[in-house]
Amino acid sequence: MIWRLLVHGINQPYYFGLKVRFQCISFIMPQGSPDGNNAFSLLHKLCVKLTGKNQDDALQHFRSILSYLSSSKVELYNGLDEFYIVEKIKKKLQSENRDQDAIKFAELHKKLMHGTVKNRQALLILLLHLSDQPKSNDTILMPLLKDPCPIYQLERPNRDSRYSLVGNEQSRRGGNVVSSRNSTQNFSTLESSTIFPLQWSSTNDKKTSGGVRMTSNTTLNRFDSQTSRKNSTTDGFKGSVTDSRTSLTSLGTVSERVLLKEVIYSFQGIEGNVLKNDPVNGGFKIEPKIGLSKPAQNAVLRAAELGWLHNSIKQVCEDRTMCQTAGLVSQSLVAALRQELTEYYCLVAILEAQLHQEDGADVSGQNSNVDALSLRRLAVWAIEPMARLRCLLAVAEATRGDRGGALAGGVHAFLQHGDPLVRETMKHILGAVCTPLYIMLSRWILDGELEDRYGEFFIATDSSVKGDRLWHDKYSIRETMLPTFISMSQARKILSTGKSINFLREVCEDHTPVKGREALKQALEKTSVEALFMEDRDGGLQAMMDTAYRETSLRVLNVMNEKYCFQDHLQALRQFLLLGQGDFIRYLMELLEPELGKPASTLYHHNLSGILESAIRATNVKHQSPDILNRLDVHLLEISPGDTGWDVFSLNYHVDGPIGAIFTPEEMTKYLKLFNALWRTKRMEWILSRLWKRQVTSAKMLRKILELRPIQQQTHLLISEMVHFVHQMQYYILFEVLECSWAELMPQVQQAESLDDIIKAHNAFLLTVAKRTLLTKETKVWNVLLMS
Amino acid sequence: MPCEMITLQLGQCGNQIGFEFWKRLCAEHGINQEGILESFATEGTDRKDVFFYQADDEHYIPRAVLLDLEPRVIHSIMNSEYAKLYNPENIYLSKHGGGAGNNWASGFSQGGKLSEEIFDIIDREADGSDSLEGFVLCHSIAGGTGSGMGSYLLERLTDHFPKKLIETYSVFPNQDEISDVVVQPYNSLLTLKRLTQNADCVVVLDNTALNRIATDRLHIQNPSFAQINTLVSTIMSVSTTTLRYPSYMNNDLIGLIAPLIPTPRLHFLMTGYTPLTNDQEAVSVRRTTVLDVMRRLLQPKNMMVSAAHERATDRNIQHCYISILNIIQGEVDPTQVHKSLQRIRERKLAQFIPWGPASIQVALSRKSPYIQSAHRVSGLMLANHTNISSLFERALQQFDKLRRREAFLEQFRKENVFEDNLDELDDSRDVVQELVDEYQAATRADYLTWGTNTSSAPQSTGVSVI
Repeated sequence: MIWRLLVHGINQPYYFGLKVRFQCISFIMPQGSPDGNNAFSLLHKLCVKLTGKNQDDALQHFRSILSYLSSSKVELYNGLDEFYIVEKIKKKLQSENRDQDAIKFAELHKKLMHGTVKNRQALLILLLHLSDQPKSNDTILMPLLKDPCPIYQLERPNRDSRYSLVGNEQSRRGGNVVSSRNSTQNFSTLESSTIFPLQWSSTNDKKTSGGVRMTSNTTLNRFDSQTSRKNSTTDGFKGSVTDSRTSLTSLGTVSERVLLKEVIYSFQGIEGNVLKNDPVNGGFKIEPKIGLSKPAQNAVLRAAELGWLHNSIKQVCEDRTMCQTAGLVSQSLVAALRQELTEYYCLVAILEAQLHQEDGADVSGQNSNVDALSLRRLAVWAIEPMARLRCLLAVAEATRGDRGGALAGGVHAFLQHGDPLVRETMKHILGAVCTPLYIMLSRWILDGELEDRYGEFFIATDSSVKGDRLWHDKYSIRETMLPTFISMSQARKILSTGKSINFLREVCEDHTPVKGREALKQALEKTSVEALFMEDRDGGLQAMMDTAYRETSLRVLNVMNEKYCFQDHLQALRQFLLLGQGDFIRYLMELLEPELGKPASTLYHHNLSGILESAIRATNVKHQSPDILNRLDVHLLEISPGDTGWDVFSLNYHVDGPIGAIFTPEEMTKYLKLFNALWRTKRMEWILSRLWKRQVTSAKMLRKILELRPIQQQTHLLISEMVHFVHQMQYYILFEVLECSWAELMPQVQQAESLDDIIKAHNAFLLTVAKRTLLTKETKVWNVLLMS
Repeated sequence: MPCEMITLQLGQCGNQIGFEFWKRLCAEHGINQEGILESFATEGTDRKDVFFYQADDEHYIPRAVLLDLEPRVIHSIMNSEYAKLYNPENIYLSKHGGGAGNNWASGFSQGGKLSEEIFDIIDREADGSDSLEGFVLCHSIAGGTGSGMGSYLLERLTDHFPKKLIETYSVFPNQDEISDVVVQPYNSLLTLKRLTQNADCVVVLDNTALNRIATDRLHIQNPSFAQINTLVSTIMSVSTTTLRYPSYMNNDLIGLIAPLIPTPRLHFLMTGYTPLTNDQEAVSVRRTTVLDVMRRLLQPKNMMVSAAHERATDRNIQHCYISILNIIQGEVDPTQVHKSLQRIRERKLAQFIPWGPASIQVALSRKSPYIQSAHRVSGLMLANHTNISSLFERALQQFDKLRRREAFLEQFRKENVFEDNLDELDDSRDVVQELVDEYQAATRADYLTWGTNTSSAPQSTGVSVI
């Protein structure tokens, strides 16, 4: 059918038909498919058949056809739709007064529409194109016949003996190497430029398409210079040269070799003659003076993106290296990026080597390099590194300015990528980035040491904090440096682990290593960094860190309980400051009464201490351990004018050393506050008791005086009411406040897993007691109401 | 040592319950029969010094004075394994050893004659303590020595130690059986007068109720003195437990009784105890909670006073609690106390006085670690209930029966007190009657102005301004 179409429609000499055939084949055959290469052999066969000559003779036709096919004029119509082309053909036929042919064409086209030919549009374009050719049929082949060159040889991947014959022939003819190379380049350029758009047209980004549009007339100049050289050697064929020029102008002028070189240079960020740095956009641009076909530009610029990526990454590395305070994590990132770049350089080197090799091969005339590098090939090879570099750059950009843990977190964000390749790359980068953090972490949870010169770790230390406040103030979580893959609760545990070790060493002066430290150390050494961010919550490393946390916390608790008798102190505080030891408090009150009745300014601390001593000796308190009794002391509050001893007296319990971590000064202030309130209530109870006693005893003596009875009755009832109130109050404080809060505190203390648990529970205990005894701000109003 | 108590044991009954009391205290504090601390009793949180003092050789010696006019009981004590516990100087036995013959007047007179020697002992004991809180008197009100000499001692102690508290554990006679002591009504009433006027707190141990509990609740036919006394010693030891195991509150006698006794004369306390168990009987262990204990304590059957919850003779009188203190021992969840109290209040299980604030007070106390008990929780109730007056009313009735006939008064007239006349008897009756009246007045809201009726009206208005 196609033949009929050709015969009727265009009426071209036989070789046009041949061309059509070839075009058909080249269009119908999918590019790059294994069969694609057979198109040439088929074409060759076709030439042989049509011309009726032997293979060698037909070769000439074949070449000319190929060179013709090289014309990218076909592309001019590429974007047009079928209907338009059909109409154009019809019009053309009509304009040539071939109405009959036009009608026939329409009929044939209709039939074609129902046929199975897929590339109808391309076919029609081809026909149209062929019809545009000048009528001087013979001339077109002349230069090609005169200047035979192994055009397709370079593109032939399978080494067929038949074609090596051609090669031999070429070498036999020899001589005109320059021109032959020229045409080879032309062909390659053309070939890649025709092929790339098909492959990548959909993925063309704006930058590259912008590059394509840069095709300018100046491209012609270079071509002219080349062709003029050609002209000098092939004199007398001017017409054909002009023809071929018109077809080649649109394809591009610079040889593929040069372009390849340029592109490979650009891969390393080096600008060349064609590819120049673009200071505006930051990437590469094609030297405007060089004429390159749009597809070629497209391809080159696309490839050059790799160079831009490389440059950007390199820049990031340099920026980070320049920054002195960036820290270890940043350095690790740079190192990781550099490593990636090194790998990338290897690839570039291989490409370059291949190019060199091929150049050498060409020069020496050995045509063994059928796998030769081409822009197309390059593009394929560039896909993987491009993707890699892209994501590297994305990471580098996204984490710009980040340091330490934040940087690791930033990189971690890229880990959740769907592409396993990217994920693998990111894993590698993140692994490198986390290595310093992991080392810090290991040292921290093993030895509580913090080696963090640049403040990158998510645990910060305040070196000004000493001793007692170590637990509370020295270490803190640096939230900005907390990598996203470590949760806050986990970070707290980690913080607590190292803090506990430090606490044991510095405050408790306990230097025995925490149980299981060696095992943990070995385990940590065995575990890879990846575990830090790859594992979920029940992974091995997590379990290890949890164990470390539990063990150290337990150790702290044990030391606190056994060596420093924390619970005994807690009991003692309740016993003395919360008046739990009622008999002692009562006796102390009795002994202190003569002293405390005096103005506060006349009190002497040592007198009161002496009284305290005798109260201790007289009661069961003397059985307490000396450590506890030594801590018990008298404390005089600030004296205001008019205060009596009662107003300023207070018991105090000295807490220092490790237990000071739990009983902080703030907590002790709360205790003192509570003591004052309870002490006053107790004093009221005691005063009322004495009043009651006096009444009861005096009632016996005044029994006989009947007149006093009504008064006594009133006072008795009044006192009993007050006694009742105070006892109810005391009952409330004891059962509702102290006992209940204590009952809550005790299990918490006993089941505590860490010192922080105890501190928290103890805090809550004091707060509850203060609240319920109406001592907090919120409850003060009740206190006032009750007192009024 | 602060807040010491000196125990005075008078007469047969007083010495018997005293003996049981000391036995129990020794067991609770881990002190052996010779006053030496047991090796296991190392826990130093209990206060032994309230009732004991330490001799030079670290022996614990009870602050107890044993007095009797006849040697039988004291001899049995001195022959018991606890003989070495007591300070022999503190045991005073009348030289002629004839006893008081169940005659109040005899006991009273002999008390007068022996007072110098007795007070030598008491003074010595009082001087030996740092800050003596008061005296505990153990006696019966029906016999001769406990009632008569006890009455004399009460009067003298008030004069001698006007600022010390006097608490008595007074055993009231069993009403269910016919007593062989015919003058028992006289003895009781005469003693009741002193208990009203000279004691600060009387824990009434009603033999009637104790025997009923022994037979009905513990299923003992014809309970022995020892069995009854075990009950008594339990009450005595538990009621002092907050003094011996100090905590936040109720660590001294005043702190314990001041909230219970609003006006000085209304100081007769009844007791209740739960769970009541018998040693011989297999103990049925129940789950006991604070609420269970409190609820059971309010049940009349657990009260150790027969008068409790008896209907008042006068229908206009609604007897009620003046105050309640529950001493709860054992493994108690303190957080449950409030809930239990609330439930009791909601159910209105206890009726309180209409004239002032009153409520159940709770003291949690530790149990001795050295005594094993099948019960997790046990409780003692000390209650001031107006119904105690019915006990006195009954005493008055029995007194009146004899007094009208002037029966059995010959023995009384022989003694100094009744040489000239029998006014003391009538005077005592007036005092007890007044006590009954006051208790009944306390059931009414106008108790606030009680006492003004006996004197002139203007005074009362003047007082109410205060």
